[in-house]
Amino acid sequence: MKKIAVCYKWVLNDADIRINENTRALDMEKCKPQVNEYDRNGLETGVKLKEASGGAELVGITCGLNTESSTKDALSRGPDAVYYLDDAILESSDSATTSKVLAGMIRSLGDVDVVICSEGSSDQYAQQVGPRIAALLQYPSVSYVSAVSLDGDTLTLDRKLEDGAETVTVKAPVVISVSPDVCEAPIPSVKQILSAKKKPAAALTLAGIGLSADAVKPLAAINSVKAPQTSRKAINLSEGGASLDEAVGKLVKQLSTDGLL
Amino acid sequence: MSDIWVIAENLPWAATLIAGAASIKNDAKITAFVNGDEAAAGGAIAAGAAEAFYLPLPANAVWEGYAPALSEKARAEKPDLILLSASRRCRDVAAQLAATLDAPCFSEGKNITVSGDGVTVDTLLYGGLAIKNSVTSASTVLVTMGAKDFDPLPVDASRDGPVSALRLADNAIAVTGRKPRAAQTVDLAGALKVVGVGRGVSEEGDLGLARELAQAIGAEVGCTRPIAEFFKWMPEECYIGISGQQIKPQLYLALGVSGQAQHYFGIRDARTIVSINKDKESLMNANADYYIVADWKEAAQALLKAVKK
Amino acid sequence: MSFLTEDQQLIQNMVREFAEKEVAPIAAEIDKTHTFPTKTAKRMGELGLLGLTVPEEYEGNPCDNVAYSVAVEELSRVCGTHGVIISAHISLGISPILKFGTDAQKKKYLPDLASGRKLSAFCLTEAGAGTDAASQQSVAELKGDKYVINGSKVFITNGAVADTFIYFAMTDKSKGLKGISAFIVEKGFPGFAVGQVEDKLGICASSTTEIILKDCQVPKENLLGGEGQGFKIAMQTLDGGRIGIASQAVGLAQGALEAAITYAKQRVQFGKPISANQGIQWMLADMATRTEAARQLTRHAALAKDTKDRYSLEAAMAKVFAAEAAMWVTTKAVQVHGGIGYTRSYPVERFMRDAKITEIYEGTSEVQRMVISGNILA
Repeated sequence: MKKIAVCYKWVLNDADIRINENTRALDMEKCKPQVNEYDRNGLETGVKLKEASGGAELVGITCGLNTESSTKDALSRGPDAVYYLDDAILESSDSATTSKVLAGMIRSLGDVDVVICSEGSSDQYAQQVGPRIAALLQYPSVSYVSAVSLDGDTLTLDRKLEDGAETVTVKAPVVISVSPDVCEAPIPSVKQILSAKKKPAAALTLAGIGLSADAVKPLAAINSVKAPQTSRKAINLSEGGASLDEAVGKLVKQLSTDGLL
Repeated sequence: MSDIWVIAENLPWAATLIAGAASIKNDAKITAFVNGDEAAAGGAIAAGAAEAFYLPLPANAVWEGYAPALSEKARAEKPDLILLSASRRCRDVAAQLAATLDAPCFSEGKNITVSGDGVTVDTLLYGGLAIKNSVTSASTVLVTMGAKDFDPLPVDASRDGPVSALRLADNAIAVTGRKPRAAQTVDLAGALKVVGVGRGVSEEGDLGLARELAQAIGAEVGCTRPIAEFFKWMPEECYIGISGQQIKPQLYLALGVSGQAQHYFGIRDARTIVSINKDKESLMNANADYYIVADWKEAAQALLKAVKK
Repeated sequence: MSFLTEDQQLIQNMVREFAEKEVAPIAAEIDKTHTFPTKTAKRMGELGLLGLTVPEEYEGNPCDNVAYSVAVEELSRVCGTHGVIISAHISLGISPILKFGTDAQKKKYLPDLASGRKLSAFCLTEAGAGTDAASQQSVAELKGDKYVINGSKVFITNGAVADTFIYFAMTDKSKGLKGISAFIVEKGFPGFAVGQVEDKLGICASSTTEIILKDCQVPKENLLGGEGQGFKIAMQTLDGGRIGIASQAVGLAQGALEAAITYAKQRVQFGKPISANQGIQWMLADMATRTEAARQLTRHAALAKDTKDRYSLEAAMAKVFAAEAAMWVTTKAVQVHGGIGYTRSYPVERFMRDAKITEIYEGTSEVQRMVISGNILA
């Protein structure tokens, strides 16, 4: 096994999104970019697979806006090198565009035996990029993977589906999409952070991987992004120093009135 | 728009998607592809499809192995719209189909409308915090949809239409074992009341109290993802959220649930949400109709006592 | 407002993640039960936090002092105890060995300390010698190839959990301050004992104890620096320690400020959140401003340590300002919360109790003012 590639997304931390009460628009000004949390499990899966492979190179791959600033963070989570592709055209990138660019990057790197994606991204959570890359590269796609083991170039993978679990074997090359329960994503140590700058991060370009801007243009246009009106009342039954028994009493009365008890 | 395909995890979901297809375009020709046997395809005809294919789960291969045959057929027949179950297998197939057709695919799409501008769809961003409205004029558009987005049309067993099997191509992925999910012990999706437990429940033994309370008020018990996946205190079918169960009870009672967006996604259609959480500022309290700021165990005991009276 | 380098920011992110995921859930409990956080202290070692600023050859993580300050701040933002554990370990325990130790001493002691396998502590204060260090009653006598030390120290942070102690004792009483020497003392040396454990107002989960040496035999090669170098070592070490404590104070202020903002936005009185009242708004504005000013002075002092040989003035200014800001901001945070802020339902009373010590240890605010005036009048 020569190369394992983990795809990750550089997303804004949604915990700091503010909503404009009047326009219902999202204010992202306070949101800082971070490695998508689901992808941290993907990167750690890569680390474990690299150990099991006895010598494969582990690379991180990303594309989008300002992804250059993601490289040290990603490198602190285990890869030997990171490849990134920054292009303004990727500003409102959807799954179709993202997977075309990532597949192009993987193709241009060559010799990638296993591509690891995570279940989804914290912003769109479309859960498409892994299987899309597989289809574009004509690699088999195994999604919702909850356990990975490697023997030579054969992977044994557990999947979790609605009606039960499935164990599959597949020979590399393959694209796998892992669920968060595949492994815990450790907090990187200071040593890993400080050694990240000693590892290479290389920029790729659309032209360099043989894609025209036209080939990666979004297939849909965004009309609007708005926070829905919430209708929840958020009534605090403990307000005004009510004791627990009083609060519970109020709840029972309310639910009885509403016909829920 | 004249041709709509429906690709479904099972027959009931197919019936939902067929009803959805008919409501989007009432004179569309609906072709159904159903995971199941010949009878399932027949069921799809009775549920409103003009033609149906059955795609039985192969013994030694993954169901997603039908993707190449489906894309070949889609390329030849160019359906305008393909609706798929938002189940794990169908999501994988949807993405593979979309990539080979170079088509847009909307995950968990809602409010699909067709007009001269093309197809507009709502999808969720940030675990339901925002709704994105998109429009596309692509010649084929894919959308994955929830199991309860539409009520099925009345079954008409007298309807007739061609039924056939779809060919499964050779596949590089070999299935070496399947373990069916333990018989569904709970029906969260259909439950009128649900008690949900979260990370505030710090010991497995405390689940007994949650169950006792649920029984007293006639509710099923569900949980957040970590309780099922990381602690494994409850079966995975019990976790509620964007990647788990999406429920529509009349009452959802959250015990020690922090209320992250991914969990809230699964309960946002509940009529009344009650939260008990000692962290007053928890998201769950903010997104509840009523909340009590208290240790969930003490509150559950008090509630149990009050309900039993 | 962040002028941090990428490395500093990444360290800030990882410490914040650790603090929020692993420290915050236990902070109230360990405070209540006065339990030293053994598990998270071990995790700090695994994550490399106990070896910050130490060269790689000693199993450390050679980041700069600004990154170290940021790490202490982030820990203290959720728990003052965790902040002081690493501040005492690195600034007071490790740094004198790093700066004044021989190669052999560094090789022997630093790897265990920097990797977090062992913790360290700094023993200067005595019952009768606080600010007045020259009144040391601890005495070290050279007998053959060993120093025999007698004496006791009080208020020693990490006292019951450390393995390695920097211990100050008189080798020549007649010389006053110039008769003080520093020693590296191990927990296992014969004659070493941990005495009374203090029951404190704040930083309750940290271990603060008496250290008693009775005819304690310390190998000659454990003398740190030369005989008579002790006072210089102590003062220079405390300059660095003050940056750690200033960082702890900034973290406590920041934690209290964030709690107050959250509370003010959601607490409704007279039909509107209390944050709509100008009285509260101005209080929050002043809290935010003082916290930020304290942070900038503290990082400035850390930068001075990274770039200059002497930084006593910067460290003292940062320490006195940050400590007093922390006391003021945490008190106001309790005020914003009203009655509930005085209870353990919210973390602000803990921040307030923790903040008080920052005005006292590693030189009281009065001592800092002496250092500052001494510098500017010189």
